[in-house]
Amino acid sequence: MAELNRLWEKRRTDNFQMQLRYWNLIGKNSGLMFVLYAMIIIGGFYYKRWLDGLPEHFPGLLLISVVLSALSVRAPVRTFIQKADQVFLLPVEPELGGYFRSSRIYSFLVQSFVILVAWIVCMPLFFQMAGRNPVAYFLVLAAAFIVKGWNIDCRWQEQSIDDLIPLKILRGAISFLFLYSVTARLFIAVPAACLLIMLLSGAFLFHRQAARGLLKWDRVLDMENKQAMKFLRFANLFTDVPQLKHRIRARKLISSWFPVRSFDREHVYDQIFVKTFLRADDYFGIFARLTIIGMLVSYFIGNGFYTVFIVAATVYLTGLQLLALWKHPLPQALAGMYPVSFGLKRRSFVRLLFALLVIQTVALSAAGAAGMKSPAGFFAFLAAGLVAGGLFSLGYTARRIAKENR
Amino acid sequence: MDPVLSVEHLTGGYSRQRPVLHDVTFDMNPGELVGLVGLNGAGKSTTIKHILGLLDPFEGEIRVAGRTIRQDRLGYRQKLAYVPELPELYEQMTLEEHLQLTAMAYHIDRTTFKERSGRLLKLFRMEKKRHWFPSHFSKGMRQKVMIMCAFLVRPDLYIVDEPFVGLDPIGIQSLLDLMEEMKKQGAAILMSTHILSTAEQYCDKFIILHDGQIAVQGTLEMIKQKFGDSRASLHDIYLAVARGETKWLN
Repeated sequence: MAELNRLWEKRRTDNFQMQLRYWNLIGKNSGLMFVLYAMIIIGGFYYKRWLDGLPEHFPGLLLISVVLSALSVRAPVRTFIQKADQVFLLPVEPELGGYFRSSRIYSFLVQSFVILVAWIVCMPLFFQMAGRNPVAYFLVLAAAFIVKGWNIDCRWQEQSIDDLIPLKILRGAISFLFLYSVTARLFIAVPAACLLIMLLSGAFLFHRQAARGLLKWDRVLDMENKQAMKFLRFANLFTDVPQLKHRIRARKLISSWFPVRSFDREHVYDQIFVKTFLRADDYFGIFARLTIIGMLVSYFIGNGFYTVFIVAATVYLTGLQLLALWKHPLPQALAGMYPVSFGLKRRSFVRLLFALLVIQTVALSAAGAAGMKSPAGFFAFLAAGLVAGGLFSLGYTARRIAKENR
Repeated sequence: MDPVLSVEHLTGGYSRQRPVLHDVTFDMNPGELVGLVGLNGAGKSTTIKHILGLLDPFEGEIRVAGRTIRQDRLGYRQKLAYVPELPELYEQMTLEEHLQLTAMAYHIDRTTFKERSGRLLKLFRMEKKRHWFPSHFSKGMRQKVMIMCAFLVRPDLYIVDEPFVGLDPIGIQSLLDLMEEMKKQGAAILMSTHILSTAEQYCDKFIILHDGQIAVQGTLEMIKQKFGDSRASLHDIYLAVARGETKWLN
């Protein structure tokens, strides 16, 4: 149906624009681009050295087959399906054939690009192992594309099938065997047999079973969300992605260190803030990352004055990031109704903030002192961090949130 | 005896130019279950928000146990518990932690907490879900968490906003039983609902809101008498009010 095809087109363009905007932000992060270039150049250098030093019987072709089949067997289909579609598109499910066909083609193209990159990277290894034979290596690429296409088709049929484990094993085994037989140029009958099995199992196993089953929308939705999240999580390393907010992680072990000790009014918000810090959004992640980066910098800088500055600056930056915790939305019907004074809430927050900054200061000072091998340095850094953390939390933050009287 | 809740000449809403409620007056005594009924948009939720102290009255005042929220914010809040229409939970907290936080906030000691929470969890069949996060709960289960938090507190006044939607039959019965029990212990309960048959069966008094005003209030008998048909059900009377057949009111 034309309208459904238009819907697919629209969703694809929307997604593309969204990603483009994030890439724009990521690209502006010049530090990242520099690191990327540096990694490519350094990586290329070491790759060459590694190749030169390879022993005679290194299983390079096997390695290439493993890499390529790993990339082609994992074949999620990007459908751009949304949750509401379970309601609104369900009635036209029989007419969604074209929509999902476009999804498969799109997924094939995007994932083939990844295969192409891996293929290019593996090229020197192949030539080293099998001699300079471009035709043979192009055959490998063609085989990888075939395997990718077959896997995507099968993966889609699996969305209507219940018992998946044997099918997945079959898919993995045949894909690998086929790719290896082409890469290692085994006797022609082997790849031919693999191709035949792929064709037959595709038609008689996957397609036939799928025709009997119903499309499992939940699974399709799950597959879509996982892929969408993967990109957003990546983008979130560089910039703030609002869709990623409000993800909860249980963090059982570390949460168990903060049980409810006394049923005191004073500690309600201690609990709320600690658990929110640990489990909600990415407060804990930000704190951990900044602490680790700060520790690395403090360790390697090896200059006492700079380290003092680094410690204080890291503590300040971390404090700024953690301020968002104060604004974390809490349910009106619960927290909003508690007969607990606003002052107690403020006190709990400031106390937690100060405690976190002290913990960070200790870690940074230890790293800095270890880097300079100077125990005396530890106390100097500690003092700097404590002053920065104390001023920020007990001074600045306490005063700032006191103004929001309610 | 003093009323637990007294709403006097309350005029209020979201903007002073266009108040939602007009001169609403009613009292609630200990041991009363009062049904607040009215069409969508009649002002039930606005009334509740005023009682909770989430909105400021434009005119009139609201007292819980004789005090307004301005006089004693914490004392006022301490006296009431609220079950909202749409459950709002801490997404980052387990069911157990919801109950613990409530116990902390309302200063319930450990033994009382153990006893009450154990009973509530059993009553609503949630014992096995103590360590679950809300993201794994259905709408009905979320509602149950809200109800458990409210009934853990045992305040003088319960404000319950449309509690039955989404609850399973056992949940509904447990809630009704709990309300009966709390009533016997002297609590007052204000319940807004559209499930009139249940309300008719359980509520002692009714307040029928229409266009932000109280159309009629009192026991079902009083309302029927006023309506002039002793065989009429709450449903009939409510429909008559909602359709604007209100001559009998004057």
